[in-house]
Amino acid sequence: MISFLILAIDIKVVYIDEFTGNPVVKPYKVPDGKKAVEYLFEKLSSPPKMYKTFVPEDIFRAAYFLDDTLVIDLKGKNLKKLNFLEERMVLYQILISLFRTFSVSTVYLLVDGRSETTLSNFVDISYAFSREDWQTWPVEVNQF
Amino acid sequence: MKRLLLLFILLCSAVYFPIVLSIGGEIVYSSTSVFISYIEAEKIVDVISFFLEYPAPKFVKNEDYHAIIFNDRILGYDGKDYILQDGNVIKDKLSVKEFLDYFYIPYIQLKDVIIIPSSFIESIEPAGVTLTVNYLGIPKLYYRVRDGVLEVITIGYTFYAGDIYKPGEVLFRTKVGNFEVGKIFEERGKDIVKLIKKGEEKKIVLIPYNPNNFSLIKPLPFESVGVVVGRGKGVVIVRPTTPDLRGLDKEFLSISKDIGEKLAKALGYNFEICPIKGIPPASSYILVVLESPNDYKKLPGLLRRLSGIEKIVDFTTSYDQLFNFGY
Repeated sequence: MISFLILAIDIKVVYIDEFTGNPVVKPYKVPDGKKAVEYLFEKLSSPPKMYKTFVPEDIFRAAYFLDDTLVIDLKGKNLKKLNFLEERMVLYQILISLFRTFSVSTVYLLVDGRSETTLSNFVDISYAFSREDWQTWPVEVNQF
Repeated sequence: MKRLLLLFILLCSAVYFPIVLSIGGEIVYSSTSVFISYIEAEKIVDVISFFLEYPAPKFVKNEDYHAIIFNDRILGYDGKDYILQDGNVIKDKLSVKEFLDYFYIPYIQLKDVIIIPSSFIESIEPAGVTLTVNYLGIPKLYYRVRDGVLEVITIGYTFYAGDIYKPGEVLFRTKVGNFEVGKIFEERGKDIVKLIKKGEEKKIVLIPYNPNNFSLIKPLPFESVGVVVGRGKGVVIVRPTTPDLRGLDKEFLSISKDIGEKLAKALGYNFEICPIKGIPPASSYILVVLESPNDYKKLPGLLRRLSGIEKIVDFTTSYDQLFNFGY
């Protein structure tokens, strides 16, 4: 039932501008036969020219929609080598892209089916993420 | 955990699920049919016992006869029909709900999702300035004192005294007068809540980050601030709120965010909102990753000035001893 809804929407993917370091949202049409969440993760890991991404390739395992909640299951083996900054940026890119694309109010992240864990080493994914907190880029830049 | 992964693979292959079974919100099984096969029944009972720390089930296999022994009940299967313990009743099909009822496993149903609580509270015992909570499973409990009453609030789905409590519901209240929640000691199967007298002085506590030991990170008096310190590429991080806590963490975020933003500006660091392992939700803790020994020296004075709190308790020893987050 949910899959039909997913096929009908465009996705919005967050990359980092290579020159300014600012986040940029790029819209894509989901090709026929592709599932939106899976395609979103494909695009997240393959930025167009002038943009970069922290999201590694092939980290998507599965997605489940329950009412207004989206549960994303990721592959742990491809997340292991992230450093502290990369791990945070992966979380930010994923969450902002998901909340910009889907009208869910809550996202749960799992790694290899587990929620009581970290994304890689430090980022805690034990608790749900809310639309309220993750509609805007969560970094305030302060430089002298 | 492999068993759980297997169930997730099962989950991936289905498109539309009339029945989803969840333990405390974590999906453990879904099916296109409300009826379960014997093999699925074995897997489900295995997962339930694993999550809820029930004694492990036993599986009997004797030629064509199979049986599950779990929670003092026996469910037989002859390859075609189920044989129930009570009066040897025979059924050709068993629904998920009949199966849970049979093994006395409590659950609630929200639309198509059957939710089994993730913890079972066996007892809550107030005694003087201590409250002891004994449980099975994975409790997600929050303790607070409001208007002189200590409340135990569940953050997950919890079974207590014959009822299932949903996230955000108060499952226990007791009068404590002029006390508030002090320390919470978490042992296996037990939470011990120590109450302290109200009016303790506000303070800032500096704690070195240790990715393997968070014992110094304890509940603080309201409006006190915990600053967990590491070294690496400079950044100040506070934890976001989570829908799991149903608004209980909002007041804490406003305190930690206010000081965190000011501190980041003063140090010229980025300020970020991100859940970091060891930084507890519903608490006014912030993580500061310092870039230089000079910033380490400046930190107590800056915090004093930015927060207006005079008292500082410092558990850090030196910049070099701080955990290095790297880049």
